[in-house]
Amino acid sequence: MSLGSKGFRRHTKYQALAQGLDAVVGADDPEAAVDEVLTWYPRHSGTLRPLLQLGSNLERALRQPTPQPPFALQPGRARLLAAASSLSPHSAGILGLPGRLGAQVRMAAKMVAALALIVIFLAPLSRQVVGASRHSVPGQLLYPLKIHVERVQYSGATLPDVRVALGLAFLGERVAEIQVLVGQQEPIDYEMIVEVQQLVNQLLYSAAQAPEATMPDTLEYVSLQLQGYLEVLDSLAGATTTVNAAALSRVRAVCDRGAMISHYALGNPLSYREAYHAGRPELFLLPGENPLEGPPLPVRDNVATQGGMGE
Amino acid sequence: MTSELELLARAKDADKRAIADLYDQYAHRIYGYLYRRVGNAQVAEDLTGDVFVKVLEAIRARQLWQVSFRAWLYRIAHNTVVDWYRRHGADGYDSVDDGQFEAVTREPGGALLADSWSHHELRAALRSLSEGQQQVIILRFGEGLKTREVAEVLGKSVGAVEALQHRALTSLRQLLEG
Repeated sequence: MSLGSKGFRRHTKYQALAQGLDAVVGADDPEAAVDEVLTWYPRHSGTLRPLLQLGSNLERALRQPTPQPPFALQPGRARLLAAASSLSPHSAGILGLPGRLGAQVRMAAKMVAALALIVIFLAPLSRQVVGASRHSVPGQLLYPLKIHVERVQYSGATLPDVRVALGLAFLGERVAEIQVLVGQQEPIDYEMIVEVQQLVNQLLYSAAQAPEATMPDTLEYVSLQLQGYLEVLDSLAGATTTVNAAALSRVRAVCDRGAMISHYALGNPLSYREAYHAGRPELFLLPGENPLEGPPLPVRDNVATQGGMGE
Repeated sequence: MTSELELLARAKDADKRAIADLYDQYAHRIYGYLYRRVGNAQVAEDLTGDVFVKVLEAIRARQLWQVSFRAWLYRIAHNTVVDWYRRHGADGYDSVDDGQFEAVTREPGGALLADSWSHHELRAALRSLSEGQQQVIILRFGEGLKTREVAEVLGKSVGAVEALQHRALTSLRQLLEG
């Protein structure tokens, strides 16, 4: 093996070590590489050898595999995609255009500028309103706006992983709202149950559309998150009123089934994907479920009947 | 197959798919680096997510890499670790998993392997280095970055990194073999 000649150049001991390490670290035969490097820098050979050997050892020691990340780096991916979904593409060409703009384009640009001025004046107000709505709970004036903003965000997301991340975030919001309602002894209304059910269903559909390679991680993440929400809901059971107890139980059942489906789907992702792609989630049954009866998901009529809450 | 240059060009234009692909390509390396710095898998995974969200924010603000994307990415990871230590103090290193250094003594063959080191000794020796020296050792030998890239990550000159590297290895040698 020839590592080339560094012959007649004079190097500081720092440079000699740096260049020597470039040759030694990762070499097939580090011992031979060290010997050759020492011929390049005879002035430093006394101090260089042990440092080069140490560097080679360190490389072997530090490049050992690290433990697997607990969630296979999927939460970070979902966060990134959720953040990216609000990213507008960079329009690199616009800065170079003014000299070539025709009269019509310039007029359009002026209109856009005027519109932008209006938006700039109105945006802070609307941002404040939207910001305030984030903390609202059912029954408050701004709550419909909060739900509307969430739906706009969700409909803007195209990638399944992003939809899963958003769905879980919004479901977390619903659970937090339920906590507030229970704490204030306010009723959990029927719309909340429907909203939770829709979110869980959307989550399961989106997870089924995730890329094959990432679907198991996505499903596991959904299952774990839903289990976390279940723990929160369980902690509320003792503090709730009789009327809310039925609604809480229904919300819990929806989340529980979602957690179980995502968990069991891990064992049979193909049939899970097929059932949800075909728009027939009822075909993906949990152990012990009767296919004739279908899954016990609450629907509009039986929520009103079983939960004791009419519209 | 998309080349890395093409991927990076698309990422610069805020292409979501390219950004996701970059995550898939680099997240494990960054996780490994963060794990070596904080010593806890859960924290390292959380910080990996933080790093890539910062990447996205930097792309959005057009604060882009000039020469090496890899060095730029490690620089963001480095700053993220510095922030994390600022918030949590230096306790993170106490939880470093000893197993990560175990192979030093178990690697079969190889005359250069220092059989007398234990992983505890290596870990303790690394911890006794200055912050800058630890950074250079981890980036240079743990992550396989070139001296120029390490300099870019740490915001130092190549000469300063070469000097840091020399001092770090000299100290380590004294600690491990002295």
